[in-house]
Formats: sequence, structure tokens, C-alpha cells
Amino acid sequence: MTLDSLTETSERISMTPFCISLAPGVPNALGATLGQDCIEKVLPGLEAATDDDIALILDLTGIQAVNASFLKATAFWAFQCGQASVKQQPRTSDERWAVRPLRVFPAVTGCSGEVMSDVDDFFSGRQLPILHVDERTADRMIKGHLLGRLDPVLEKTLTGLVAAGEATAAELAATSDDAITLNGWNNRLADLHLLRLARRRRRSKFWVYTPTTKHISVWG
Amino acid sequence: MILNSRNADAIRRLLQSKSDLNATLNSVTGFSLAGMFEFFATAVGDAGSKAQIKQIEELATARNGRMREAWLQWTGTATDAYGEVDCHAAPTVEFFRLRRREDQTGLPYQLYQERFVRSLKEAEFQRKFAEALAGAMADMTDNVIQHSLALPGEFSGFAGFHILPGYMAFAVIDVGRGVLASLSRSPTWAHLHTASDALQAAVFQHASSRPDQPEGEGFRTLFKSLADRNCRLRFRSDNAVLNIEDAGMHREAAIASSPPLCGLQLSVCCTLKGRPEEKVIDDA
Repeated sequence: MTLDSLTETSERISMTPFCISLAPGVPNALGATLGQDCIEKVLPGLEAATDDDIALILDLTGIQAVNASFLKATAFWAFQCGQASVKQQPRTSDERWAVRPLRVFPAVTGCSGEVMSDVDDFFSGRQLPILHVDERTADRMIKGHLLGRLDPVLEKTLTGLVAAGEATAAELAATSDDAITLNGWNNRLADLHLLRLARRRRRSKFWVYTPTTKHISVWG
Repeated sequence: MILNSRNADAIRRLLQSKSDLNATLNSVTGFSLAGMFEFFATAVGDAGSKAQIKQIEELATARNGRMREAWLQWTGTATDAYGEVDCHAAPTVEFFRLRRREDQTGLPYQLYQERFVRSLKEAEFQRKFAEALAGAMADMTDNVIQHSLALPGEFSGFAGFHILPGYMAFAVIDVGRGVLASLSRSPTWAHLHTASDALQAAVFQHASSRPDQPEGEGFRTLFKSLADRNCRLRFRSDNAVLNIEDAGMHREAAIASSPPLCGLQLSVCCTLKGRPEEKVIDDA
């Protein structure tokens, strides 16, 4: 046993379910109003999780059509709230659907071909990635692939993180031939966290990052 | 005289001028979806006079046809808006009233959208285009719920479609607060002071009243669905009217003044071939 491990402090490990699912419940997921009504059902759970990360999985199984307004009011809204949490930004206003800091990691699942394309288009247009969950248990995401857009450098970093399972910047740097500084690795991992593709917790003075699913591939 | 969007105001003025009501009624030989909707909205929206509304009602209900059906459904006097609807039909004309949030999100509207798509497919529209149009229409009705009310209460939305072989029109109206008042809530768009500027910002810059999302998706979706198609779009709010004609690669827009009215009225017509013109609803 080393001195470091004796003095190591770690953030509390969440024992609450990591996943919350929401489904539109109608075949055509169109419009912000429907999206808001979906989010309304899970909002208390999201707001209550002040100390825990929550994956919000938008289940589009059986959905025939989806549009940008719906995605903006659901997955993208959750994305903005997740980023507000990372950036420690306060709630922007008293508006019902104002962006507020939530420890949420949005994802989608169950997309058919055309719906998958629509989700991909929506996030690509914003230069953002979104995880499509392909396999999961009731409370964990196991396997997924990326829709939207992820910078190739971050994609490579994510691949490395997935291979490692969990890693600090120093650990990931040790497995790579890339000639970048430790600070550069820290920034890449922080970006993945901001993009809601990696969770993180403190271990001593380091951040330990974990991919949101064990296996992630890139779509297309 | 055909009651289309160009002369909806003229017919309303005829009624207001206390001319012979019967002569006015008889002069209207047909109506388009856009004309009828705009006529209803301008009448109800700015009238404030029960006598005027009664005149409109008389014009609307003089014949046992589509205009009567639309008027009764919009004003809520129809006993059961959905009771007689065949869920699996492919109607050429159908209306939908939006009073509550659930009207936008519930099963009846889902079925309405499906009938819209089914009717379009029967009218030779390709499935993907038909679904895109349904998505655009859903976004327009969604705007009624999202933006038209200044205070909590009942919405005043009304939607309809008219479909013929190779032709489709849909219209969505409300007599709520209008685009300028809605955008004035947003710090990004609060600098807009005229209805004309507000309407153009909403349509061309996708201005939205949401504080965290200064750009909306509704009009972007609408134009995306109609890209490279022969279509005409008309938007009217407060005292501004914006007409856009899109013939494939060539798009022309014209902004003008109009008699003031509440809310936002929009109509879209599209043809698979030839110049898009509003067509008269068969009222037989």
C-alpha cells in the first residue's frame, strides 16, 4: 500500500440508477410542445439528482418521424443543461424551459433508419455528438454508437478512453504515441466530458474519466 | 368573387360597409383555404364587435359546406369536432382546432397528421415529401402553443389542409399576440419595433422568443420541407404581410402593409407541376 492510496480521496460513487428513459408515446415526435411534455415527466428526477450523474435516454423506438423542434426541446435542451452544469452556469431565467445546470448525459435509442438520419443531421448541424444506445440494462448503458459530429482528435481520445475503461489524463498519455502535453490530454478529456460522452470523478487531485458506455463506435 | 387571401380583406370591408348582406353573400362564389382562414382571422381578430362576427358567421354558415364546417369548428360551436372523422380516411379537406396544449400533443392530432400524409400520397406526393410537409405543419401548429398566448388561457389556433391531385395547401392561424409582441420578450430580438421587421426576422432569421434559444426551428423546417418546390407562402401578423413565391431555384419575397389584425396567419400552397396558385375548395 502506498502513501498516495492512503491519502486518496474519491467522490462518492453513485448508487442511484444512472439511466432515466423517456418515450414520446406517439408515432410522430414533432414539435417543441410534445418534447416539453416528455421532459416534464422526468424533470423532477433530473432536478433531484444534484450529486449524481443521470443519463437521459430518449427512446425513439417505433417513432416514424421526428423533427428539429422536438429534438431541441428534449435531447438538445438536456445537452445544454448538462453543459451548464459542467461550466457551473446558473439557471438563465425564470422561464419554464430555461436552461439550468443538471448533471445529465443525453442519449437516444431505438432510432429507425430515417429517424437516425434526422437525429444525425440535427446534431451534425450543431457540430455536436450524441450517443445512440444500442444495448443497455435497466440502469446502465452498455454499448452505443455516435451520431452527429465529433472532432477526429476527440474521437481518437474517446477510443482510447473506451479501451482503457477509465483513465486520468496521465494514464491515457502513457498509452499513446501522440506528442501532446499532459495539459493537452486534460483538455481533450474535459471536452469529452463537456460533450457528455465521458463522466468524471475526482481521485486525489486528478480527474478520472469514464466513457458513458463501455463500447462506443462511430456511425456511418 | 373568390374569397382568397388577396381579397379576404376586401370582402370583410364589404361586410363592414353595411352594404346589402345578401349581395355580399351572393358575390362570393368560391373560396380557397388561405382566403377563408384569413377572412375568419381578420374578422374575429380585429373586430371586437359582435355584430361583425355575426356577419361573418352568416357568410360562413349561409351554405351547408366546408366554410360552415370550418367556422363551427373554429369557433367551438361544433358539438363534436372529431366524432364523425374516419380515422383511416384520406380527406381532401380537413380542419383541426387548437384550444389546449393537449390538442397539439394528443392522439387526435397524430391521426390528423397521418390523414394529411395519406391524402398527400393519394394526391401523387412522394412519401418523404408528404411526411416533411406534415412535419412542417406540425411545427406551425406548435408555434401557436409555444408563442401565441400572452397570458395563460385558451389558444385560438386553427389548422386546415386542402389537397387535390398534384396540389396541396395548408394553413394555420391564431388570433393571439402576434409575432412582434412575442419577439419583444427576447433580449436578442427586443430591438425590433415594427411588425414588418418582426415578421421578416421570424421567417428569414428564424427569430424565436425563447430566451435561451434565440433561433427557432419551425420556419427553418418549413422552408427545408419546401426547398426546390413550386410553392407560395403567405405570413400575416399585425399590419405586415409577407408573400414568398418559390419556383424551384427562384425565390421571391415581398413584404407589404395590411389592415392590422391579431396573431399570425400563415398559408402554404404547393403544386407538383406549374405555378402555385390557391385553388378553390369544392363546396358541393
